[in-house]
Amino acid sequence: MLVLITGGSGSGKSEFAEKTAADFGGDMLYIATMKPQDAECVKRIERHRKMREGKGFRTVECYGSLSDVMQTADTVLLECVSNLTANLMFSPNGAYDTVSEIMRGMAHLLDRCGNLVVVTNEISSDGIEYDDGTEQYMKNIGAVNCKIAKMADAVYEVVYKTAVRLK
Amino acid sequence: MIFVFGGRYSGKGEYVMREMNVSEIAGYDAEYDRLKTAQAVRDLHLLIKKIMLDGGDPMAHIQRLIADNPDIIIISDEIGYGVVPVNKFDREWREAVGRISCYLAEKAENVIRVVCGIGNKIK
Repeated sequence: MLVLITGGSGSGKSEFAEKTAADFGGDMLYIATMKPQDAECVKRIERHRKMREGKGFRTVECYGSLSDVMQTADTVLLECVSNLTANLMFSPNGAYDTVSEIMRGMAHLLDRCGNLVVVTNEISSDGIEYDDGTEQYMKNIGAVNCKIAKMADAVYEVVYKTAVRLK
Repeated sequence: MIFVFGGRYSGKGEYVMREMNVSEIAGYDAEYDRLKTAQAVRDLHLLIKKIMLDGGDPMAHIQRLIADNPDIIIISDEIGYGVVPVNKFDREWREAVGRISCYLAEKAENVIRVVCGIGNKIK
């Protein structure tokens, strides 16, 4: 099973994603993509780590290509597409075609687990025109979201802790 | 008329072509004669901006368009989920897009909100 979970910032996506993964159960692997670059990131990472505590996830950090993740698991929780995209686009040895790279990584993960839960973000509804780099970032996330949603068995949008099933 | 909206790059155009049997979507900057006969038009939010920059009345323009082309599918970006813009024109534009979208949603046969390429019929 492949499940995609989207929503605005602070909407409760992570909590719902953890619950979804836990419902699949078995041996669970959490793929963390946020680089601990500064105090704010460290704080966010810590909050998420606390939330996962005692829920039975193993954690693996992935700041580059998903294809580098060699672990296998019954259930994998990948959080999140926006960090993953940023890591690939803005790192010095970043992937040339970010969207294809992420989709290759998705196939790689699907080969390694029974259930994959992917968290993404809604970031493109504020009407602001950004610089080219940011627009490309938004475009890549939009394309990845559409591609994963197409493959997914279920897609949810979380709105203030309420999960709305879209597919 | 059908109104389709969603975040930028959320797959609205592809959705309309795939699900609504549309072969070509007119750009917002196409000639009015083209829009009058188009199956669908994209970027309503930019059309509104263009009319405002030209000193026109965007609501009157859109009303005329749906009177001339009552079966048109109108696609727009959702632009209202952000901080109030600092710039006065941007505030007026955002407000106009919101009000015109409300008008279209009220008039439309169907209203579809697209997220991750999936259309959710909300009316």
